[in-house]
Amino acid sequence: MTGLEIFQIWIIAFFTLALFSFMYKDNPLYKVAEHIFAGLTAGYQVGLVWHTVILQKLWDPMMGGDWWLFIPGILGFLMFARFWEKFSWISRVSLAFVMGVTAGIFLISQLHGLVLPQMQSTMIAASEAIDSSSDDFYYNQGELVLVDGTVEIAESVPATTAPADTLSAVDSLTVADSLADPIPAMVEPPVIEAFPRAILGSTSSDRDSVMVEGLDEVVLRSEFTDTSALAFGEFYAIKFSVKPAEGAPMEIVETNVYAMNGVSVTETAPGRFVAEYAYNPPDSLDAGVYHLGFETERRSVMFLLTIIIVVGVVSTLIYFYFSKEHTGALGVAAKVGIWFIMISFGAHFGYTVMGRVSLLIGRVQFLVEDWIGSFL
Amino acid sequence: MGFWQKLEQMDRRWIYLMVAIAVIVPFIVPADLPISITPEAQMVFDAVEAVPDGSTVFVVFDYYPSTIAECEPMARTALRHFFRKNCKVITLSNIPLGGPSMAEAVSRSVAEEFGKEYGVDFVNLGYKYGYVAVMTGMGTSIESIFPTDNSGTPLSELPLMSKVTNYKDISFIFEVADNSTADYWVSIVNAQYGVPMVCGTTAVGAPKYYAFVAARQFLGLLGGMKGAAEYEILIGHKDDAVKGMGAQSLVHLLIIALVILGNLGYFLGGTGRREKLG
Amino acid sequence: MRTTIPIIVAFLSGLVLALAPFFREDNWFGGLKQELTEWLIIVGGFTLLLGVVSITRVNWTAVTRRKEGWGYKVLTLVAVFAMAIPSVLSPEWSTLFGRADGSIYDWLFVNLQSPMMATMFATLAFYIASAAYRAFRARSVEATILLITATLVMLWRVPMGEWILERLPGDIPYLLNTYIMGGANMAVQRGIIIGAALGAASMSLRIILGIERTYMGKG
Repeated sequence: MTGLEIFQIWIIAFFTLALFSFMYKDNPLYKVAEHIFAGLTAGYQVGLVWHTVILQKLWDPMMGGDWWLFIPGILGFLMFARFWEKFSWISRVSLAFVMGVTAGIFLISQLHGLVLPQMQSTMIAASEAIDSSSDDFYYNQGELVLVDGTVEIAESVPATTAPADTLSAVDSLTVADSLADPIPAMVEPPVIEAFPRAILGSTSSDRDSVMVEGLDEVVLRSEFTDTSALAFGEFYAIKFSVKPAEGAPMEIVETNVYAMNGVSVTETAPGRFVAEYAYNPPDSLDAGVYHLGFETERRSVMFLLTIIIVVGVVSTLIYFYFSKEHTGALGVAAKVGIWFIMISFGAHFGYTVMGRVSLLIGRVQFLVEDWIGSFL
Repeated sequence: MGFWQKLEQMDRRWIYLMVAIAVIVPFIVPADLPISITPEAQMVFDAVEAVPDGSTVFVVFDYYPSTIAECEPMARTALRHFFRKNCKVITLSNIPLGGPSMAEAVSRSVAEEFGKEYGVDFVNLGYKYGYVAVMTGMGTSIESIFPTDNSGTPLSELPLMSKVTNYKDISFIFEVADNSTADYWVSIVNAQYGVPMVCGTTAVGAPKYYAFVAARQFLGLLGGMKGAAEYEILIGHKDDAVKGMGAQSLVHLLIIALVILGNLGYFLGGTGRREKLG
Repeated sequence: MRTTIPIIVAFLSGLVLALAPFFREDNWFGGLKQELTEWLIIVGGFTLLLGVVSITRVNWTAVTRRKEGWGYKVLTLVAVFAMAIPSVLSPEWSTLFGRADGSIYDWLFVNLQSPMMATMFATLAFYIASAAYRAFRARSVEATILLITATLVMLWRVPMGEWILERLPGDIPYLLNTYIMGGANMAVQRGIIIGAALGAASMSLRIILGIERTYMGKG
């Protein structure tokens, strides 16, 4: 560490402790630090505006030929008119320009960018609760390769997402002849990831057909994450299918997370699911490639959460924005609104504590690791 | 004076001392605590992962030096994540107090870890006054708003910027904010220009932004130092935020204990009963 | 004239920006909108300087009139000039000038202004702990709801707290994130966002139409 670096650390430590000393009681050292801080904060802005605004946006372009920029330049200087009472009204013109442009941008962006999307999101949640039909459909597939006496599962296949109604999409995927030929990712980054895995077993071959021995069952395992699954009742229809490369599927099992039907589905962590299905292969199988299809269909039935959201939004709006006296039905709604607001403010308080403590941690980390660490 | 009454009237400086000890101890005796990942942080990671390698992205330093402990780990981790994906990173700030300086320092130090070259792999546009004007204006032309980078070099002399005209050339925005500028990135840039974005914000701001996550206006959210720690774990590079979790835990437990004690004192010490009696 | 000109300026500039999203960006109207946004950056930039001039004037007056604590105010003035003067001088004269790494401006920011600002806000941790102890009481049903939520959230957001919650029956961390943060909290915040945005939009319309004039001050 160089002498300058040590000096810098001591300077920072000195002013940090000087400011912290106020926690015991007000003292001259604190006042010194406080006043220097105020001055530096003001001074910083001079350098910033000088370079980023006056030079880069005004002076240099004007010298480069954009002479008309003298108009905002004059408007900017007129701001200082407010220091002279007689002429202070002139600064209104500059202020009106700033307010006008800002208001023009706000008028549309606040409605288009905040009000509509937030209302839309609330209404979509409500409509989804009423209509429990599927909204998203994700599929993935693995392969059970039965070639001359070996049962293998193709390597983890890249997760794919696809639009709804594509149970048949499994057919359109490339049939892999070897493990080294992975199925390419289809479209878009995955929202739900599914990695098919299976327990390997051994088989003995008899030319065209394979006797499966010691393989009582193949456990088809589908692990998937849906980090956007924030809603209660957001359940998943999982379809397991086993089919030869050509021909009709041998078995399709459909189930869902909350209605277990021969398939065990567990939520290992919020939004993370593991579904397992014990597939019992028939006594003999033709040699070839078998597709293990995993299709995960997300069905949004956000009953409870949707009720919370809709009631919460409406009652908050009623509490805050209806100036009519809160009596009768409005009073009940406003009371519900208060409870919701208290929950939200409680959460806010918890987070605020976290934030303030984090800031203290930052300073203590400097004092312990950098400052004390420099002379230990 | 009874025990509970004494407790109720305890000098606040004892509380300050307890807080100070609770923050200092974990730095002297560090503990490796398991940190769970919340879905919102996972969404941030997934969203950044989904950005095609080599894309040009914005990392926005919309925070003041006051919240450096919460926000800098997020910005640092985001830069590491993007540089690992060979993304071209453009940094900027709407904060007149320290924003451009922090963007410069952090981006240069992280770029050094990855051997990235200024002007080719990353650029710091710096600051311009008026975030609504800056955000709106960049929709037409970034160069007309930022004729030079933070150091005064004309954008035309920076190879990275020759490929960038406006938001159409920006694949993703990673906003790190400790104030409401994040609202304007949503309402002006995300809504009008459709650039996908995530947000890393201070704990104080995080509860509000759950609404933006639910409406898919943010594709993910990092809330406070815990959010930063989760993101550090997700990219596999533990840093300052993870280190701070021990102290964070201890102080939270202390404050909860104080709240319980305070309420016990309130009810058992007679103040509560007196208030109820009017 | 003192109010008419500002109202016309606000109306015209606001109208252009309000209509801009409905026009192509590469035609004359888009160009006009772009020009006005750039002008806003320039004019607005001066407002930052306005604040600095104001602080300097107040402190200067206090020093020249030897008001109480004037000695400290000298330090403020010295700090303003120490930061400002070298930053506006050309870096071509010396590497100590300007804003780049190695300049006085940068050194003062990194080693004084930034850590001091961080420390100022760090002290809030002490106050919030004290406030939680003294004022956070289960005085009513509403206060109890607030208190319980805050306590659970404080536990949930730290590793040790989460460890405790995981040992309690039910998946409390998941329920907290889903129903409290993503449910009730989200709904309230959404209500506030919608209300505030409607308020901001209507205020914008009032400014553009010249109904709202309070920003002009008196006279």
